[in-house]
Amino acid sequence: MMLSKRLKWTAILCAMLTLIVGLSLIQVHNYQQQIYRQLNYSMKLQLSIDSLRSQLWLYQEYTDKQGLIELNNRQAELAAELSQDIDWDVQQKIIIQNLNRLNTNVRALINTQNSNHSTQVDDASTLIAERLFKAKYSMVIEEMTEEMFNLHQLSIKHAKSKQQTLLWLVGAVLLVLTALITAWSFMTLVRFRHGLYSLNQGMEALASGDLTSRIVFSDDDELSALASNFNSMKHSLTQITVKKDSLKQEVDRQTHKLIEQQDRLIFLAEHDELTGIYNRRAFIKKIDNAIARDLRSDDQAALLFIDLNKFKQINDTLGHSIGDEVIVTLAQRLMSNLRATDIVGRLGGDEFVVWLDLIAEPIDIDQKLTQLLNLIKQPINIGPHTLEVGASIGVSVLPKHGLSSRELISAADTAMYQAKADNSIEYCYYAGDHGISTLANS
Amino acid sequence: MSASFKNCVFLIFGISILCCIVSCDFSAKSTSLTAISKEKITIAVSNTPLSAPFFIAEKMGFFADNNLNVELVRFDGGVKCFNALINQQVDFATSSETVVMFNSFKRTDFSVIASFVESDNDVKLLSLTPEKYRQLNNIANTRIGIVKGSASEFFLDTLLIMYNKTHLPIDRVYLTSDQLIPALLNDRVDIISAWEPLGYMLSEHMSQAADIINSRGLYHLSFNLIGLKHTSVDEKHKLALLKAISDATVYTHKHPKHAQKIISQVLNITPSQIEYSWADYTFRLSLSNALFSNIQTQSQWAIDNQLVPVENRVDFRQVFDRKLLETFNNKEAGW
Repeated sequence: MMLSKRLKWTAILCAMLTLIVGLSLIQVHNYQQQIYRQLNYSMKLQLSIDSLRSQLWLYQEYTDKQGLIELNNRQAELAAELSQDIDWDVQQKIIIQNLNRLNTNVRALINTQNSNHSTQVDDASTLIAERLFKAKYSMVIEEMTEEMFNLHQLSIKHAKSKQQTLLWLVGAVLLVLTALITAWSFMTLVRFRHGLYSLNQGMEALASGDLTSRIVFSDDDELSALASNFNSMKHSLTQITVKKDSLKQEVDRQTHKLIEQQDRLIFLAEHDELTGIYNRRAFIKKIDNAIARDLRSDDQAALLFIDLNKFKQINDTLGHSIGDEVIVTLAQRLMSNLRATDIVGRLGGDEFVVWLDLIAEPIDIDQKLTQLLNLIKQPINIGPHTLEVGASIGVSVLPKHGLSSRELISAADTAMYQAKADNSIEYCYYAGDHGISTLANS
Repeated sequence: MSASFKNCVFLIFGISILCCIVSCDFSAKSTSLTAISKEKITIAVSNTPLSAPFFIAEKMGFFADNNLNVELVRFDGGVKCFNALINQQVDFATSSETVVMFNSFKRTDFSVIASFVESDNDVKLLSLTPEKYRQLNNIANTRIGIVKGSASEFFLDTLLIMYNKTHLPIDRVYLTSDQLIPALLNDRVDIISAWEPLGYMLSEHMSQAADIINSRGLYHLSFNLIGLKHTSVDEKHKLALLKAISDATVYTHKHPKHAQKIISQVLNITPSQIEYSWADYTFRLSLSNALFSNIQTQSQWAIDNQLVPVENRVDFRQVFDRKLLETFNNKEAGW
């Protein structure tokens, strides 16, 4: 039940209680008024009967006209009072009826006595008659007194029972209603506290970052509606959080993809498309770094300019694709037989450049040149063809033949042409101070 | 806070209220249960509507309600009832104050416990030609049928004294109560002094009322509960008996029609006969000086008319057992 409905019922019960208390008080007042009225009335009756009794006594003493008139008046007064309609019950009405009858008896006796008053015969019979009337009057008055006692007793008894009944009834109703209101209010309080506690728990859980738990409620009051809304809110919040996470993941994925593409672009920009080794620009950039490092540490290095022999012939006779495969095979052989610090690049066509870093002695260069030439000269199997190529290598040495990449490449290129021009040699060192010197021949 | 809890709360309240009511009711009943006894009490009652409280108590179960086992033994008239009491055939008897008065001169072993009904119009002077005697002087030289030494004669004498007609010459014809109406119808008498239901029976033969003057209030008949002074019935049972009669009286007041119907059935008389004199009856428990005065007046009349031995002066205070009714009244009033 809704809390507002509960409070409404509490208010209604309180209003009922107030109404019942009010009505009870009115009823108590009415009963009391009725009882007072009855008691007052019976007091008046008692007085009238006493007055009649004394007047009867006087009439017996002075049997004259004045006495009779007075007696008639008293008797009429009593008759008038008895005819008043007070709120009597059945038994009280019977008593009033009987009092009326007795009063009528008094009237009959007075009339009888009065009718014969003037016709007295003798003293003896008069005396007997008077004695008889006296006895009769006293009997009637005695009975009236007795009836009055009964009336008093009955009135008091009725008043007592009425008041007790009212007290019990009102007491029972008040007790039940107040108990009901108390229990009802208590139940409302318990529900209210329970609902607020649950809500508070739910909010604390949310504050601590718990998005999964829900407030459990079984009622259908406002607090339960609030809890339900809170649960819905928490559900929405969970969904929003999930979206944000997947968005972040998507961004990360795209970023990674971009980085990959960037890396690929960088790779494509620095490497030869056919062989995958450095192209001219990247090679120059790499050896620039190496030159700077080697100059700082006073180290020697050599740059080999390799130009293939008999390659044009292959290209012309077997086609460019075979030629390309020859280039790729040779690039792989060079790559796989150099140190990690050495650098290899393709300048275009059948021209390769190799940077031999950190050369301790000139002999090391020769050994490497011999090794590389052997590698190049090894037969290459492509499909049904077994091909062989040679090479002319020009060598420039850092720092002896130049201090920049441009100088060193130019020197090695010059030396390569020298070697190519001389059929007896396979490689040629750049001749010192930009002169050419042959260090070895085949 | 579930529906079951709510139900539980209401149930506890309901039970506690029920317990209160039951315990109150039980404590109220337990007082009356203490008087349980089923010894049979026999009461001689006269076959007249004046015994109404006893018949109603029996029919409506007021004796049983007061834990009494009462047997009503019915007789024709209060004299026979009284004799049954004296012969110890019954524990209690009901009879008129006239019977009490006469017997008071003979014995002292009984007492009047309470008067339970009165009538101020039971005995009447009846005639087939009542209009002739509207002036009471006209009863001079008439034959008046009376039952000797009874309320019939007492009423006539009282009337003559009150109307100051004692000097009129009257021919008193003494008859039994059964002979009164035949004597009137056969013109053996001009007037009869008779009690109910003779007045009703005569009115059946006539188109007009038979009573010659309105004598209401000039004579009071009462019917009384009488017991022996030494009896096996203890005070507790006597009080219970008074309570049963009181309950029957209250019932008669509250349900007069039904009460009349019961009496009509019990006595096997027509409802119209009951109704004829019902308004004259005042049912109530009393034992006042009114009755005392009535009996004393009647005893004086009996002495004056030499109906009782003059030497036996009676102290009527000994005849009345006022204490029991006073105790009953005090108990009823809660004093």
